[in-house]
Amino acid sequence: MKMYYKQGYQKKNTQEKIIGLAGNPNVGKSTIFNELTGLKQHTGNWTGKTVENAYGYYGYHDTNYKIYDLPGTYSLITHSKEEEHARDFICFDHYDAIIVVCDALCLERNLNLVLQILEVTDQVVVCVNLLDEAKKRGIEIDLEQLSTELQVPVIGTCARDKIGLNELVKQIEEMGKTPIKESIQTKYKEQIEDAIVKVENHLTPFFPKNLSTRFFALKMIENDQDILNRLEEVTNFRLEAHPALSSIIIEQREQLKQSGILYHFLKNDTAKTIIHHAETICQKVVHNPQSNMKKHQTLEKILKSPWTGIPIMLAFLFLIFWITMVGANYPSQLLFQFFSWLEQWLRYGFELFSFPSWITGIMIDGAYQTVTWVISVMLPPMAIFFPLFTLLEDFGLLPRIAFQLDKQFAKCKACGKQALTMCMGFGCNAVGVTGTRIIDSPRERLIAIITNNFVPCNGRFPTMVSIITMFFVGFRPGLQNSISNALILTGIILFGILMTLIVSNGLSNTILKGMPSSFVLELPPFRKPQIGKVLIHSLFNRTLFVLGRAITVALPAGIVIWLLTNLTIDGVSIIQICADFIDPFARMIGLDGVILMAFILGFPANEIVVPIMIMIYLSKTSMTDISNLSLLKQILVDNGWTITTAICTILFSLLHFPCSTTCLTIKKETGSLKWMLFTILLTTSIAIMTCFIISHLLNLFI
Amino acid sequence: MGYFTSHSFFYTYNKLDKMKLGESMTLDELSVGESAIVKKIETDDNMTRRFIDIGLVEGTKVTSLYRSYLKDPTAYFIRGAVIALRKKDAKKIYIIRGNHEDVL
Repeated sequence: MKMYYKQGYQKKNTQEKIIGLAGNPNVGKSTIFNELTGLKQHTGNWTGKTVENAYGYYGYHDTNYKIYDLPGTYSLITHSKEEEHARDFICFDHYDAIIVVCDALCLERNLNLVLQILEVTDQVVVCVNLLDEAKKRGIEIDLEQLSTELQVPVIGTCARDKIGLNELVKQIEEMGKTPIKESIQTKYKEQIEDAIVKVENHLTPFFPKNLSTRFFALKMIENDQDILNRLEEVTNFRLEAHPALSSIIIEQREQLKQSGILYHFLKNDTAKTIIHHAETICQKVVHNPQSNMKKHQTLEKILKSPWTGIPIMLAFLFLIFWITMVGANYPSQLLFQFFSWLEQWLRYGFELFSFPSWITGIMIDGAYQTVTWVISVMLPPMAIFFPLFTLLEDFGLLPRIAFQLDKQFAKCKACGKQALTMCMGFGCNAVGVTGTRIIDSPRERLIAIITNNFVPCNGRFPTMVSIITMFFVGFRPGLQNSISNALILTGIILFGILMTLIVSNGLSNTILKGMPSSFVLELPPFRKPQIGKVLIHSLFNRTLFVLGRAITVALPAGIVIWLLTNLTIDGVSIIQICADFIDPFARMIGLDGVILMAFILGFPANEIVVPIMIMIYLSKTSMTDISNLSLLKQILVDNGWTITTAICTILFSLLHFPCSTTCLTIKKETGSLKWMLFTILLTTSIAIMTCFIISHLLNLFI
Repeated sequence: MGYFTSHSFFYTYNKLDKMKLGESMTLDELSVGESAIVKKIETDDNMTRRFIDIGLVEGTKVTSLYRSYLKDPTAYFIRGAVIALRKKDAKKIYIIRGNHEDVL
């Protein structure tokens, strides 16, 4: 199929048009976006907002089109930051057109958003996507009729197979040339319409020309503070500055009240009118909607039955687990080898220019080693996990797992989807925290973010496994040993899950009490995921982004660690002095000063905890990784390690503060420093308390 | 039809034999495979907004599709989409059993 538009096209010195891509979640918005822009995507922050936006370019007939992929939203009345962001773009930004993508399978609900957007702007192209899927299910949609009903252009597409995209691009070009017709408006009850017109008449003279007076007049009567505040931010328009207008609004509310319409409920009332309007349109446009649900897929049937469904889901969870444990280790090893090979050359280069040794120390032993350590351990699980989860979600399996597990989580006032973010946490907690975006209820999402750290990530597993091997199982390889190793590890994981549930319950009954919470889980039809695109997309967009964050912290931390170990006071390194200082406290919780110090310095990445420990014990000046476990055990025992120390170290590792990347991600995802600090405080105090209790209990018996 | 669906629907409902249609009940009591029309939703503002988002308002037809292994939540067919709702939320949705066509 010949494409007429140019993906990712950016010709200099031509005019640029701005397009917004809006729609419900799961309607193939991103597919259209990727098809139009190619894989050249840009992400950045909207000024003053914590939400990322993605935009890209395409060219058509010598014009550049800058296209924004807006977050999926069901309506313009928002619940989350992401939805707010889509609404702000639609309501306030300057653009040449909005493409509203609809799912042909449930057009009725999608039209709801279309009708809401039409209240704001007439520059709309409706794109009915997934027509092929609808056809398979016997649903027929009369696109021409739909266009007549809505009074805006309607294009049918199957974005996956690139069908209809040329028409879409052409239609957008047309829009710039011909004057835009007035679109259909949902008519409310007569009294409401009267009120809108009266307010609108007074509003028009001094209201910004590019904004819809009808829409904002209604919002003013509804007293929608959220959107009015935003209006003030964007245009400086304040209702208080116009007393005549304010009194008319109050007068209209009073009149509505007399006809039995309270302005508090107006918002829901108008929303319902729009739903019914969409229903009326659909009755004329969609033929055969009933056959939709009768053709249930075989896969759905298999998953519905517990006998076949439970094994399949367990198998998938196991697969994810296995890939975390095994799949990520091999590339980790390769990266590690590559970086140590590169390190030799760097050292050689530094010697060649005869830099003083302290520069080599800071740069290579400090910064370089820490950064590469973090990259080798973090990159593989992230590069595997982001795409894997996107694939499983595209396919439709993840929501179904969440559906089955929800009851257990609901008991602790959390959401079933948390099971999935916990699984991601096994790979990398920062990934798990980002993954909580799939939870749309604010309270449950915060719970999932705060407790994600109780799932041991790929960086902490090796520490735990080696301590278990050294102190509980023994070194001789054999089936019995690996089974007992696995059993102890499972026990630790279960303990982490138990803590997650206890803390989830505790949080929702205390600090998060009263936070809005809701559970509406959409189970989209199974779809074949687009493997190639997903892989590249999530690798570049998410993985490298998080990795960049990791490096920004690891670099200075590496330098600090090097300085602490190499600067001495009276012949004793600063790190040793610090370790001695916190030693009495650390002993109270079953650790020692060195272990605690290693955990504190291991803030950039948990993988470096053991190397730091060894470094201090041996009074060395750079980190070493000792692969011989029996030698390692000897070093630890010589420094006073007992079974209690081992248990407490494992528990502390499981429960303590998240690593710096995770912390930054928490700040980014919650949009506040407060929750990040709270998480650090909460997890650390739980770790200290648990270790305190366990060590004292153990000391009674041993 | 259209906006007045719910109103005209109440009118016809009163005239019909209640036993035949089933009594007024809540959505969680609807057995799998059966359909119903939403009569009234009594929940907090936040949840009402969520329901409005998915098009679940008075007069909407809902079909119960299947329950999870632990019997909660339940998947419903609502305006072309499959949506899972928890029992505690479904309890706040009052319904009248029967199809749209049966009722009108």
